[in-house]
Amino acid sequence: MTLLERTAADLDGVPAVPAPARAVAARVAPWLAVGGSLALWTLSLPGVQPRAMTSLGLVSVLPATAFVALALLGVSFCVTVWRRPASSALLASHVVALVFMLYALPALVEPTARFAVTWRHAGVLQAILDGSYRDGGSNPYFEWPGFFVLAGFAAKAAGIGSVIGAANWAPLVFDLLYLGPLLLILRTLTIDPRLVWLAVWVFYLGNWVGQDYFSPQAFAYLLYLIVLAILVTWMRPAGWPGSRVRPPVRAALIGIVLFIFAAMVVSHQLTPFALLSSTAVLVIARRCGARGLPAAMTVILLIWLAYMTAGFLGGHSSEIVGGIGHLDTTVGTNVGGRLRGDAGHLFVARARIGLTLCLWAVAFLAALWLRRRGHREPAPLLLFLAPFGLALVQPYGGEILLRVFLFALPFTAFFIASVMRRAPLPVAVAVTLLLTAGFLVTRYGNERMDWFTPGEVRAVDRLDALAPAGSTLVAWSNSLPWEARHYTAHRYRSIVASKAWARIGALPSGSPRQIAAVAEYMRAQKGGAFLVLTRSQAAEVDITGYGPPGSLADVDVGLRRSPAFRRLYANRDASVYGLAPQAGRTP
Amino acid sequence: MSARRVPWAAVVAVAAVAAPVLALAGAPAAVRLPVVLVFLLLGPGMAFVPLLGLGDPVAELTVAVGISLAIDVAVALAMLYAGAWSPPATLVVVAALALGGAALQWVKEARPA
Repeated sequence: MTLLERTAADLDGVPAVPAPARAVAARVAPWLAVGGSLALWTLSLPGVQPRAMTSLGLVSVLPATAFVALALLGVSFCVTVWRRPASSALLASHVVALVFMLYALPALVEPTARFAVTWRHAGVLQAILDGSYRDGGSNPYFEWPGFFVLAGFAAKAAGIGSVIGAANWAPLVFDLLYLGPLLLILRTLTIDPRLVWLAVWVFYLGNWVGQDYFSPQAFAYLLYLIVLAILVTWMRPAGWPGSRVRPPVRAALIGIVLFIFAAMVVSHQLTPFALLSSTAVLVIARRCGARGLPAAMTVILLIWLAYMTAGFLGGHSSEIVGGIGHLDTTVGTNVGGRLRGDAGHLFVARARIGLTLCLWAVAFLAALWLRRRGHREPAPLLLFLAPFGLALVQPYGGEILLRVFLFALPFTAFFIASVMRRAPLPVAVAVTLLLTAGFLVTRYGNERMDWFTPGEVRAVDRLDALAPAGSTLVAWSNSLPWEARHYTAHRYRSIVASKAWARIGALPSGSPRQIAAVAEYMRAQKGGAFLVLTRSQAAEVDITGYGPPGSLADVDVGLRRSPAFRRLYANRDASVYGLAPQAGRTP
Repeated sequence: MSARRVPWAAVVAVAAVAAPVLALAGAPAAVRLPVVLVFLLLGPGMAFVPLLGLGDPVAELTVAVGISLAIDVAVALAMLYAGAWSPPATLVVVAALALGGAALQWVKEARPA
């Protein structure tokens, strides 16, 4: 061995020149940025006062340091993707930090579970667990009980007393679980790992629709992503690029797909149709070699619908079939119906529509642009377009466009990331910051009515204690933390959703005539009626335009003065009323 | 660490015994909650997925989550509709399935290549 060779061997693995301090700093800086942004974010939140929220939602009460934290993370992620050799651990840490900051926000600043429907889901779960759920098919929750049975089983087995206490963490958990299948799907669309992570980043910044709360659709969406990941990774026909597995393994994976699909079918009404449509599109386009899958999925779906949900479907056939082909109704209920309310709410509603259309338009144009540049693989465009067929079939209670957006989002994100990846760094940073701001406004824009105070929860607890089984519980509007207890023991009604609203809503707020009309409505309810008014309902009335600002406070005053009502409970945030006995009648 | 290097059969077997024992013994939530929830999320799936030899850790864990949740739903729903609803009993059935999968992994590993 020559001296030169020995020296080279001695130095093997040791840099010939000591690493410059700048290089070390460049390697450490993004980790510091992740840690620093998380620390700054966490330190920013204790001072947040939800009560001070305006109609713009949570964004109106976040301190400047919270925005700095998000901006720091976004800039660091873009620089890491653009300027450095891609380290998966570093990119993953940015993404996990982003998911924590965006999706755990309500859990960190709000005292109790948000969303009225979360409380209802807790009530449904309890009703299923205690066996009081067999109601003859009038309630869809009991015809698709998979998620609730799973959640009830897991909560009881794990020793969780009430899912309400943990519900605000559900979005964080679900979105972290989405990461695995997202990575698998995106890896089949590009060999550039940095583009994969950028698309994941855009997915999380774009997921404003908020369907990841404690709900069957959040669970079913996880299964949807997992099945899609299996299909695009291992079910490609022979001769196409993709992971090769032996025939027995492929057969086992087909069985696994059908098993997971069955779990989805028993849990949610819409998601199986979205997955069936995507699978069929892949098979027709010869991008899925398991050609019998759509037929097998259809059989599973029809068996469940025919045998287990016949009661519900029989009673609601006109609503279900009546929407087919009525795209105008779908657009009207999904878009037009949301464009009302005060200035802040209108801004949020327009931002939601604008962001959605903008992301769809950019994604579609990017898909065409990629095709012109020689990217001929049609699978991502087909999977982006497949969910749109659902909008032709069902308005889904005014939510179908939200769901279409969600089902298409992995592929929307992929196309947008493909364009971003080719843009200069400053443009990518600007897009990230814009999407972050858009996310905060659109996702948490209704938060003033979606969050609840402990006082509101106490009032509903009191209502539950006061109202005997079989009575009707009445609220002015829909946003309040009820239905979590005795879900099947009462009828729950909201005045703004009733036929009487046309008359009650037209009368001056809190006027004796309006209060008399409310009393008349309540006397018509079965089993005796109780009325509950809360801060969150007042916010909903103000924000969404059910009445002039402050009108529910006028109603509260009117009820207090009315001899027709008795106030049974009150605190700073809520009041509970019962009907006073009428003269000459036995109470 | 690669998912393939994790001795999944042993890990699943330990979790499949620990989760029902902790649940039936009414162990403190700080111990019981993470063990039971992680087992329900990954245990039944990782009992079977290594048999497929998918190789990629992200792929194995992702498919395992799907299988685990589907098994959890299937067993819990079957118990409910059979009129035998009991979360601890449901957990025992899920754990038994996971132990069966772990045993299959051991059998496969013990078989000469």
